[in-house]
Amino acid sequence: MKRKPSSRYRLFAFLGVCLYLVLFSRPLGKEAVVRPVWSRDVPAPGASAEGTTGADAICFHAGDVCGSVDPNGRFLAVDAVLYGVAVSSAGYVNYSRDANHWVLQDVRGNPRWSYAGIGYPLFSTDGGSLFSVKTDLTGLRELDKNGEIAWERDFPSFITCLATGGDAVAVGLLDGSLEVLSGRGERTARFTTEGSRIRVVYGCALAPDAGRAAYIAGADPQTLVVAERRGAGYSVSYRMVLPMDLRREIAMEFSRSGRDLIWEEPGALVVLEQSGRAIRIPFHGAVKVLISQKAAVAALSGSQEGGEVLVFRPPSTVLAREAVPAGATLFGNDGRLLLGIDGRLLCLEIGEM
Amino acid sequence: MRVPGIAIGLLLTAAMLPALDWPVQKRIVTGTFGELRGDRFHCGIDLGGGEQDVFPVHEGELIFSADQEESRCSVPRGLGTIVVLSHQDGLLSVYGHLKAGSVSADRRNYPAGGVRVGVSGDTGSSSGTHLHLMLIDRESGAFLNPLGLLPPLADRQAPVVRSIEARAEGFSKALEDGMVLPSVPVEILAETYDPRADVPFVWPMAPYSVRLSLNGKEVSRILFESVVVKEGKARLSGTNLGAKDVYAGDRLLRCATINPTRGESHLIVTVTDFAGNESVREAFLKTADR
Repeated sequence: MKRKPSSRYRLFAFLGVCLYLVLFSRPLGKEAVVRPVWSRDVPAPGASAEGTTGADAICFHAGDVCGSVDPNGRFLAVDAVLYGVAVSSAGYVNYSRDANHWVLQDVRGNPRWSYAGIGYPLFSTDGGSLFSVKTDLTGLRELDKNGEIAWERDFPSFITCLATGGDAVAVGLLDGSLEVLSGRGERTARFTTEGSRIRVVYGCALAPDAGRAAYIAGADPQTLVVAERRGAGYSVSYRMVLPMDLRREIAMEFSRSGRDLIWEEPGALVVLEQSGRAIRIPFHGAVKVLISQKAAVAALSGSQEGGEVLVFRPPSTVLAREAVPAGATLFGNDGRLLLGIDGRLLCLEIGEM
Repeated sequence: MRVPGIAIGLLLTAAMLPALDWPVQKRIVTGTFGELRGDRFHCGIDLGGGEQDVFPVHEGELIFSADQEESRCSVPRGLGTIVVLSHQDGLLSVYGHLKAGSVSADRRNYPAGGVRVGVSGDTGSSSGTHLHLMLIDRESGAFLNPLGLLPPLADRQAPVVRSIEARAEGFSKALEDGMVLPSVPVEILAETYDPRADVPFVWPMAPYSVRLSLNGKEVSRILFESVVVKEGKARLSGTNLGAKDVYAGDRLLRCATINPTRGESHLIVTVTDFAGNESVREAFLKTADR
């Protein structure tokens, strides 16, 4: 004869379920969304400022103009581009072609300091550091908050790609080596290409806290290498031969959480989860911009025929996808994306609901 | 005393490298290896002659390309649109400032002289249409002077030594015969450059070598043969000399610091270019009593 479960047994079962929920429950993930906030024609260079505060402003570069705009779409500064522009959340540098003297401007367009050395400016991903890259790509300098040289380093070959994360900088070189430098310019790790007939580093990425580094190197075969920070250095944790043979710079980026690694392959973006699972998202054209913003990643491809912009939440939830004309630009800051198309800026906000 | 040894290993390496061809038809050298560019050495040569097809210096394989308008640029490329080819015996050739859109990212193999790698242009940090050619020895990591590996160019114009200068604390003069040097260590500098008949503008092109002799004995020799990076700093091969150690300014090279001997001193600065043209400037000097 079958006995009914005792009330004590039911109580234990109930407590067990409660304990399981307490110990192993995970909150329901919020859905990332992308919504357009405003769209504005960029005023002519030199137009008077429309906004009054520089808080949360985004610096941009769209075609022949650059400057900054506040979260409500009011332009704070608009300048004619001299030759190139380096932009960050802290300001921008509008530099001439000979690169022998440039000025850091804050988000309101006011000059902060000038730099008289030769080299092209480059901001770190978080905007906290400003570098000067030698015009022949053989050296790098970090400038301090006053525009003085904090450190400088020459490389035994020329730079093919560069990534920043935390206060670290990863430099990929034509000789197939990847150097990871500390915030003081000291080399904390060096990786070399192994097992490939051609040894060149084609792409590199650093997690936002510099806890992970990744690079794609070599041809015949082309290989992805992921390394984790261990103490003062890094050790390789993952290696994968890739089914491609690109001989140009390859876009790579970690997600903001540092858990997912994204890179481009012909016709796709590939998302590598920390578990080792790789997911492909169709994407057309050579990637020119790949940026992580909050819970999403945005990519822009482009050629003379036009390109595509894609915003997705890793690993594979596509939030927005649109064809764009040639010359489109894409910048991001603190969860907002600025898409520049034909003299017009479109602000997209990445939110959660 | 500054007496750099010649990098015999590099010379041997160069001797083993394949015979190269000029990459362009109009071979107008507008920039030489080792020139001062801001605060760094110019690690290649510039070839003017306007827009023209650029061919590989030897048969090779594409290992890297970047088109200024089409490629991703995580780093601003002062070399503009570039192509890098790998050749036999570990030689790499780099073609910079190419015209945007003139480069094929799909082609892998380049037979010698057959297929162009691009068109010389004005992309990147450039002040006119030209080709920037760099040669790199992959094994040693050295940037090699292309003029040492390409077929010789006709050049009958000797380098210019405009002046020899002496500098010490409280003393800075262009040297002339009979001048009295202070009896303290004195830095000797030479203002020198290499003009070319086919370049109409004055540009401080570096010669190939600058030698300083004191009383018949060579005390320094600067050779613009190759540049290597040691301890994070680019230096002339076989020396510890970076650009700031070699140059005191455009055209002004630091030859050596000498200790003038009592009595008369005979200084000779000898400058040669890659074609072997030579210029000499000398000064008979006296030394002040202590």
